[in-house]
Amino acid sequence: VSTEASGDDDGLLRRHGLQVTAQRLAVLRAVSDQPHRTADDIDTVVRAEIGAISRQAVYDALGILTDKGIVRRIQPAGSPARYENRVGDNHHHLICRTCGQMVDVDCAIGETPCLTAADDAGYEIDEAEVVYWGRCPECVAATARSH
Amino acid sequence: VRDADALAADLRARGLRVTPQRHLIHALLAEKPSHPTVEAVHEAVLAAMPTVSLRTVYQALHDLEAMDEIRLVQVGNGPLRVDTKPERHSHLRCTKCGRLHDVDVDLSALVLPVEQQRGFAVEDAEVIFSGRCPMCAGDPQGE
Repeated sequence: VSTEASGDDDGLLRRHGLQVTAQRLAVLRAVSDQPHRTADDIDTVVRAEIGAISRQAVYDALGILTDKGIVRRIQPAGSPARYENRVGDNHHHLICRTCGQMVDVDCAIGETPCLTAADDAGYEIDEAEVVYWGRCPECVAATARSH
Repeated sequence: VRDADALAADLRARGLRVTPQRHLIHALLAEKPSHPTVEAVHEAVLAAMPTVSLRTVYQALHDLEAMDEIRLVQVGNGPLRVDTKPERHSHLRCTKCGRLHDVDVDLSALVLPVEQQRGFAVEDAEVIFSGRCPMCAGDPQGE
């Protein structure tokens, strides 16, 4: 499967008018292997895989993949950005405020944007991203045990 | 952002010194337009106290964040910005210039169905609307 996926990644980059480089492929793979990684995590994974790459090059690759819509950047307030390659639908996220674990949740509406603002301040809105905050089952259980 | 006396008391309670720099930064945040960048805060500080370093500004802001007075937010690869409303709320963000605005959303429409909660104890939600602000939307060079 992985060889096939890598071939797909080549095509994916080309279809978006991007040159296929070892760096971009490694960054894309780091995002698709485990969604919701932070830029720092991706940097670590990519460096372990291909060695000689600067942090800036990893960030640049993430930036261009995001700009092209190949990966999506999720940016909850007060929390580092995370990246995912599930871009075809309008799903949302649920984050554990204690351990930071992030999971996908489906959007009840499905269309983009799925919500409207009461007062959009003149913005032309393309996307509404919902972040639900709470505590994951493990952290809820840990709190219950410590009481 | 609270008044200066309340801030001073809270700083002391945390063993932090009440300095003119901290007071100035706090006062500037109370009057600054929403979500200034850390650099913009530093520039405003320099106008009144020309020798204050960016590092001092960062330190004061991190202390204010630890006191739940502000939150530091970063949108995309953009600069770090100061949000003076620490309780969770929703934002409009411009994908071109990075500007942020607060926005009210009816969160009652956003209740997550139990079967979607994946065992989480869900407490609240925020919405981030992305698009073009009026200035960037009107800019023909907008791409």
